[in-house]
Amino acid sequence: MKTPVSKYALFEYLSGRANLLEKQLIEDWITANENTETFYEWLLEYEARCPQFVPDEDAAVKSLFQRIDSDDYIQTNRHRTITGGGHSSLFLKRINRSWLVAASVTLLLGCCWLLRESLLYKSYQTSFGQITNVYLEDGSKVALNSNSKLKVPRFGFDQDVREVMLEGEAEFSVSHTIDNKRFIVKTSDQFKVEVLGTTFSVFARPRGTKVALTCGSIRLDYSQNDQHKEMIMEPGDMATLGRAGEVQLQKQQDTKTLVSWKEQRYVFNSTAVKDIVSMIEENFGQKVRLEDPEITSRTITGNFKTKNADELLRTVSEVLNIRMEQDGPTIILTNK
Amino acid sequence: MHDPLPNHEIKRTNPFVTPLHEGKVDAREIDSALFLKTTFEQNPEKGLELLFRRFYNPLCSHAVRFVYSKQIAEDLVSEVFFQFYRTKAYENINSSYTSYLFRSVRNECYTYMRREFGKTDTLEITGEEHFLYTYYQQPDAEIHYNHLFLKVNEVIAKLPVQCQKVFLLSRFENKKYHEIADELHISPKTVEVHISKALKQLRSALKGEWMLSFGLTVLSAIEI
Repeated sequence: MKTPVSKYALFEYLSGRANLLEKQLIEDWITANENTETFYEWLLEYEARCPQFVPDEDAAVKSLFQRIDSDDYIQTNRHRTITGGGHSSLFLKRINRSWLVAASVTLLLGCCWLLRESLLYKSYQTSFGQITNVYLEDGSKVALNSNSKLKVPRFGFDQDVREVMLEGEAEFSVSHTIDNKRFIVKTSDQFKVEVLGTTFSVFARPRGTKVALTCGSIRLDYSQNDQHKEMIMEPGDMATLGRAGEVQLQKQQDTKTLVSWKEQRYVFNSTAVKDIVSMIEENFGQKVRLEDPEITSRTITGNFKTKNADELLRTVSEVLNIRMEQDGPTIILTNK
Repeated sequence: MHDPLPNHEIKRTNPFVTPLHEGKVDAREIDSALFLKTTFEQNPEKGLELLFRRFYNPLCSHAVRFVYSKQIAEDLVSEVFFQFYRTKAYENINSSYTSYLFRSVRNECYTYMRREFGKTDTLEITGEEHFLYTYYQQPDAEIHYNHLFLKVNEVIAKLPVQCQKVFLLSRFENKKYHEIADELHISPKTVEVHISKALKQLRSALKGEWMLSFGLTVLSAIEI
């Protein structure tokens, strides 16, 4: 024993009261292999003499044996020996880690699935009273009416088929490609408009779906009673999708009136007031209530140019000679 | 030594606590070790219980110097006994039970502390592997572990009075925030602030402690 360290000195050291020199001396002593056992003996004595707290030994021994029993039970049930336990638990840890990886991947995929709309499609959305022109990368132009949404795929738009999705109202001027690439407007899973280069407008709102063709030629793909149907449209045609999925074709319509919204002009040709009111709700988000059922069936013919719902409604009320009242966010129309 | 506790009584109840002035192992110590060894051979469960009753309290007392929580200290010590039994480590033990158990507990504490306050490489070393390395550690691991608990002690001693009080009630006594708030007539929010402050102090003070020991563990792994 090179430097005899007293037990007292070690206790001082363990209590953090040794000065730097003592500390060095004691640490040298501990590092020497032959003293290790003594160090632990004294450490045990130190802890027994100045315990930091007195744990409940009986409860602890009980829970330890409970744990051992349940562990034995698990081990025998799995036909594993206790000595194999070390490996099996390491194995379990590895499994846990691969579960962790699997869970993270699932979570990531889940997020991608939830965000797939915004990842896969670029959306153009117009608010109430706003009209926007969207130029697609193939040179086609889309005039998007108020409160409408156009979704264009981010990837592969220029391959094979050009497909866009529409909710609301828009006029498409599709440019023709050399390789005759198809252009498809989907309004729902059941209704598609397919083109090769033309100008047409699509109206797809909760109250109905309409397609008007200005020039060129388009084909409507739709399903009625689970049957796939097609219809070729010619310039001047207007097609309306009914509730049951049937399509009605009206020939020789003034298709220009259907896209008059582009110039913020509203063309009414014996249009029922209830349709005008729906249009105002769709395009401007302005709620309108008709007090008298009689007003609903009245019609208007005319050409109005306006930028907001208020102005349009004022003009309409003047023409029909009815009263217009504001009630919170709603406008009420009543007979005078 | 300013011992607050009556030493003689403890000595009498614990035959392991013997005066070892010259660093020699006492005859009684060898006897009891031999007795434990034979008990483990004949009836491992009985051996475990004897060992547990002899060492549980001092080991917990030592563990708490590192982790400063009665609950965690007891859990860690129990874990050591559990692994000692489960892996049948008692079959090929080549040092004294005292040094084996203290080493294991100190290892466990250290691993726990690094996980709690080091926030690095928690996946690198599992408790299991660590336990197996117990016997292959470097000599200065002893010193290093001593430094660790002395440092913890120092940091906590230096905390402002109220902060220290709150920290000890929460961690050492394992009391809930609202209980401490009631006891000290402060708001639970303040309790939270005190505790996060104390933890922050510990974390930054112990920052340097982890890299070195990681090196130690790697070395011991190579040795195997």
